[in-house]
Amino acid sequence: MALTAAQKQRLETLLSKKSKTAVDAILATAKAFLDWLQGAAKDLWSALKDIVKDIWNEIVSAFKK
Amino acid sequence: MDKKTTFLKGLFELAQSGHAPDSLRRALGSETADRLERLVSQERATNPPRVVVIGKAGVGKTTTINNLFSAEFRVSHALRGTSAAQLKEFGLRGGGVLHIVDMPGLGEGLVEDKIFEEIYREELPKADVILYVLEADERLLGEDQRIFNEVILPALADGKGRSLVVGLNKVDLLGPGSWDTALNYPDEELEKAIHGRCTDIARKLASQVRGLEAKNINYYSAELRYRLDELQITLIKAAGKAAWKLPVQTKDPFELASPEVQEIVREWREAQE
Repeated sequence: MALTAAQKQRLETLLSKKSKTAVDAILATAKAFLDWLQGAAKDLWSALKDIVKDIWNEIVSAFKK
Repeated sequence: MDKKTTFLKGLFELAQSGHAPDSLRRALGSETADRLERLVSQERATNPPRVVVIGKAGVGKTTTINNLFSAEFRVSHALRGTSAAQLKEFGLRGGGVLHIVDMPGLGEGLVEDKIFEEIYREELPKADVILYVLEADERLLGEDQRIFNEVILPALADGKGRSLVVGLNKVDLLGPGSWDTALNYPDEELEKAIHGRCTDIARKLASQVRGLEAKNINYYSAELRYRLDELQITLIKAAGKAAWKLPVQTKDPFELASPEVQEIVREWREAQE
């Protein structure tokens, strides 16, 4: 049976929700990785932070959202 | 994709697969990328992620594990000679392993409970994250409350930044409303009922168990793959510094939807790439 207009609308909402949770998973994992790296290899964490210093503040704000 | 997103996605892929993607390699340079890859492989080999899943028989622990992590089961060992408590090893995409400690809930009998409680005390401190699975319409017994308050939460209070996650499974069996089989999703009436009911349960649970935060109580249906993504993010946030090692690969709920929906989803994904 073909999808109704309401089901199509709902599917669109679901897909956009799915995109958002995928981004949340990336952010949560990346944040945990950087937190771990800071304790496990401080020199490497500092080098990394230095390399991306132009976007570091944006990264930190993304984690806070 | 902007520079920040590309960088974070690169870190995510490195954490998940152990390999720095080209975008990250270009941004960091080969030497730093190689060092990161070595560090990740070493950490994964030395300290595989360890998830403890607790719940009574029939609550859906095995389906939860299978559909949440999509990892390949390799081998299992009984803990302290009881087949009810097992350490299961799963293979991960990109190499490495995931350890799942599958433990029964209490209330099976005095002798069994004593053995299980000893296993809890041994295993919980070693866990990166603990998931306690309940059926959404199950009442929390006095014994569950005691085990939360006296065994689980104290085991997590060691400064490693981990918290307990409670999963309310089988929410598709709640009502009123029905399951939309074409979308493989609850219809609006059922979704509203699930949300209302589970919010109430979460509030009650958080008030009964000291130290359990309502945000760490998640409802889902493992069998129908409903809200597994949300549960996964909660687990990542609850796992503290080891969280980056957890596999982010829940089974796709749209695989259980109608062919028409699958086609729309396929086209949508292609457009996203």
